Amino acid sequence: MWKNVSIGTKLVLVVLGVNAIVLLVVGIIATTSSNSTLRNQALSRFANKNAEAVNSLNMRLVDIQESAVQLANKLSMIATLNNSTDLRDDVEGFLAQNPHHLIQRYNIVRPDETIASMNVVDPMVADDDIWRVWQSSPTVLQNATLQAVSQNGNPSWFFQTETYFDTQKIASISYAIQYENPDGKGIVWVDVPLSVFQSEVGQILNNKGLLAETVNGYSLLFNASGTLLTAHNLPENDTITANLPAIATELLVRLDAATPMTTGLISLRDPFLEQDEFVTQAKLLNGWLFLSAMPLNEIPVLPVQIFAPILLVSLLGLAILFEITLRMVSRTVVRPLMRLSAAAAEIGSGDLRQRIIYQERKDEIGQVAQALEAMKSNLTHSYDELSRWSRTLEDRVNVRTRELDAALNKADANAAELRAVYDESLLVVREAQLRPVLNAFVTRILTLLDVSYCGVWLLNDEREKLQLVATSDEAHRNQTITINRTEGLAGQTVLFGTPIVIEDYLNYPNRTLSLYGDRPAPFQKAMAVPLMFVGRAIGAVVVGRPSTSWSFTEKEERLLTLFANLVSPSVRNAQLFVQLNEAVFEAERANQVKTRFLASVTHELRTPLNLIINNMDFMRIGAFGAVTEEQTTRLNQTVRSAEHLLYLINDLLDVSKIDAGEMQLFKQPADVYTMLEDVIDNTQSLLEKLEPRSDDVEFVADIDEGIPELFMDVRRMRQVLTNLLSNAVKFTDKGTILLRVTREETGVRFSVTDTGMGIPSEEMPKLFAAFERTRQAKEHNIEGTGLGLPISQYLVRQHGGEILVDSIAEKGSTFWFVLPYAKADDTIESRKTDTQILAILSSSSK
Amino acid sequence: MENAGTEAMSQDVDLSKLNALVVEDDAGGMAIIGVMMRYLGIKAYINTTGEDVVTMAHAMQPPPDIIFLDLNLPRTTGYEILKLIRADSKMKSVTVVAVTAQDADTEIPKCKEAGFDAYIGKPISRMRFPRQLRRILKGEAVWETY
Repeated sequence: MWKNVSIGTKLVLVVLGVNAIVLLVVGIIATTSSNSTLRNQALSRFANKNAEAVNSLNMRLVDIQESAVQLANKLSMIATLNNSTDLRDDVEGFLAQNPHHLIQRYNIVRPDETIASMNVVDPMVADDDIWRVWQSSPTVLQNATLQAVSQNGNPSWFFQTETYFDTQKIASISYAIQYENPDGKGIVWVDVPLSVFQSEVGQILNNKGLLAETVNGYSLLFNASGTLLTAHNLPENDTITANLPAIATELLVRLDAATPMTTGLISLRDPFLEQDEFVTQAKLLNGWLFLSAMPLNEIPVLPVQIFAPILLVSLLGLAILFEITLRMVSRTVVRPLMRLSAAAAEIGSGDLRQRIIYQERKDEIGQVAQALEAMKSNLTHSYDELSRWSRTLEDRVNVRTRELDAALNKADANAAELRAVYDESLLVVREAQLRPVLNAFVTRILTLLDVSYCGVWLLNDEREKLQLVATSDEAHRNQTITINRTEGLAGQTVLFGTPIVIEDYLNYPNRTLSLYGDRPAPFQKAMAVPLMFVGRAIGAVVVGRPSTSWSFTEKEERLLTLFANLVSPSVRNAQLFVQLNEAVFEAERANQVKTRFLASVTHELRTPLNLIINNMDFMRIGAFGAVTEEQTTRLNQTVRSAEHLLYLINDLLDVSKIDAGEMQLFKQPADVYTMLEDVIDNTQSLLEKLEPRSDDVEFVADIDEGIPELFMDVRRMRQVLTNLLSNAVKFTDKGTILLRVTREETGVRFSVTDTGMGIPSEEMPKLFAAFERTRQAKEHNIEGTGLGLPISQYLVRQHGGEILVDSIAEKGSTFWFVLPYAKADDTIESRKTDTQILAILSSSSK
Repeated sequence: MENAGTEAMSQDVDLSKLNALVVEDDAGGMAIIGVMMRYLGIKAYINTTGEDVVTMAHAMQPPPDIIFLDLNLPRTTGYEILKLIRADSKMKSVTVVAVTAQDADTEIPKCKEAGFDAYIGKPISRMRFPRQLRRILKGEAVWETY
């Protein structure tokens, strides 16, 4: 790497390195100096927290004082001397209103110097001891503080460890204040047990986070006379425990001796652990001293937020220095070097006329320039040599290129052969004609591999037998030759799925003896490769040559394998295609059988229906004697039902035929008017049979004159129109049913318009779907098979038309279609459009 | 505008002067044909087996104007009978109508092929039968079902 770096860059980097070192030193100095600032910050935070704790402590003290003052005020207004029970009531009343969580005992020194005490906190105090009036014991009243308070009236804090009653001895911090009432002067003092106060101080320190600031630091509270009242987080060892007051006093001494720092902190030698520490201290409002100490080694050092700006400044300086250095180096070293480099590059590109400058310089640049000059002259010489050689080389390359071209052409020819085989294999798929294609394949192999024999064997569908499906052997053509699946060369190839090459087929132990009978095999040297499809052998290709010919090479084996691989998918496809065709044929045949069955069944149904319908019909019109009105009604119903049944049978058979592709139309030129007469008669008879008979429906036929014959299946078109008209009759209660037949430009338009219930747009898609019935049809219980319209649509489409519907719900519908004027030779094959109705039928079954 | 009363169009053939021969094996079917013929005033002979149809036709005086052949018969078929009729010198040009309950799509082509003059599928329709008959007698193509 380093070697590849240009001299200029090296110089820059060296200078830069020196700069970086200088800057690092500067940075370290800056960091160190700012560390003292950091220390001061940490300590002042510590001091601040201590001050906050002092504030809280002061508030507690004020609280306690306030409570005592309140009680004193109370006592100023009541008699304290006479009735002790009244006094107790008054005190309890006061306490109920002014509870205090720290004060455990309220003491009232009465003017007669008897003392009344109320215990309020300690639940262990016996009932008798909650309120007690007692003679002041000498020890109590001799308490200097109480004396002082009683004499000069100034409230005061004091610390005592006294036996108030007979048994209890409690260390307390207390506050005393004078009161005066008509009975005289007295003192109130309240006691906070030292233990209670200590835990209160501890809680404050915790809340303020003071103790969290330090591990081995601590907080102490001294009263005005230097007695240690509370200590928190003090290190614990036997020496300290044993000599706590003395060591605490020593601390105060050292504190006095020390010089406060600017931040109000004091640095001193800690007397507990004898290590250097900082102390922050403050006087409480009652003159007590609260201090907290933190060991020197706990003060944090430089965090990143202070280091980062310093680093940034350093980097900036580095960048500026880099720029300056770069300019200097560039002027004196880099520019000449770059010029020389450009000269060298031009020499490299063959321009030897280049004059080398800087040769006169005495420094390294000059040396480089001289070296370049030497190189230039050497090169000039070499170029001459080279141009001589290159001419010879060119000749050789030309020769080689011609050779390669020849080889390439041959390869192209091979590729073309392969391509042809592949194309032929594709034919197999399209034509499903396996044998002709395989025969062509065999012929091509003969020329391509230069073999005298080729045979293709395929496994049958059950994969039990191998059959010779194509061969170059005339004697085997047009014969069905089958061997067991593992027999012979082909069988072994299929069995192992790998190519087999045999030098002497006559002595090949697995050969099929019967294959060539008495005659000799048409080859001696043989090779066989499997036809593989999805990892399975489906057959084999065997090729052979006479003994005089050359042996099969590896290259030939590869070539034949390639052929086999190309052909086998197509062969397999063809086999599958044949199977599929058979399956489809089977399915179609099954469908046709079904249709034929249905056809014969319907014969059995139509025969009795002929009897039923006609007997009823003749009976209805009185052919068998007079019928009553009711009998006529009943007979009408019966005929209608029987007809419905007949239509259902016909429709089912039609659908089955369409489904099976068996629907045949018999189109011929036919007279439209004759068909219409029939249809009109039929519609009128339908209306007559309506029950109750409706005179509100008028049937009108409006038919153009001069309609030419249409090329159609009359029976089927009559079926379509009858269907449309019978639908109109069924769905119309009132108004007009209009059959209109008009000559149009392209054909004859048939339309059936009714004023019936119409078809809501959401029901439209169902109309031509088989077995679907509209909601209206179901709601109004209208007879129908749900097959009439799909069949009609199919029939009209087979005539080159399309039934269309215009309908407005509640207003009526128009069903119409146009039958084109068709020429007689314009035969529409029904089979081709079967898919249309199949689509209709299948979509409806969803 | 052409209204529904189309009866007049085909009334040129007087059905009551017709002589018909009906071949029908089914008793019910026979009865219906009988009723229909009577209803139309046609004089009809009925053969119930399909045998000796030609003999029967020869015996009829006057000879039949029209023969209705059922296709399915116990021992023969309508096609066989038609062959006999067409082979008979006197009867070969008589109008022969196939009347059957078989599937029309199957039978109509066969009937046309065999040389029937018309086809009326069962059930026959009282409403339509008279006009169908008139059209057949006029030589129109009638290959119809109910």
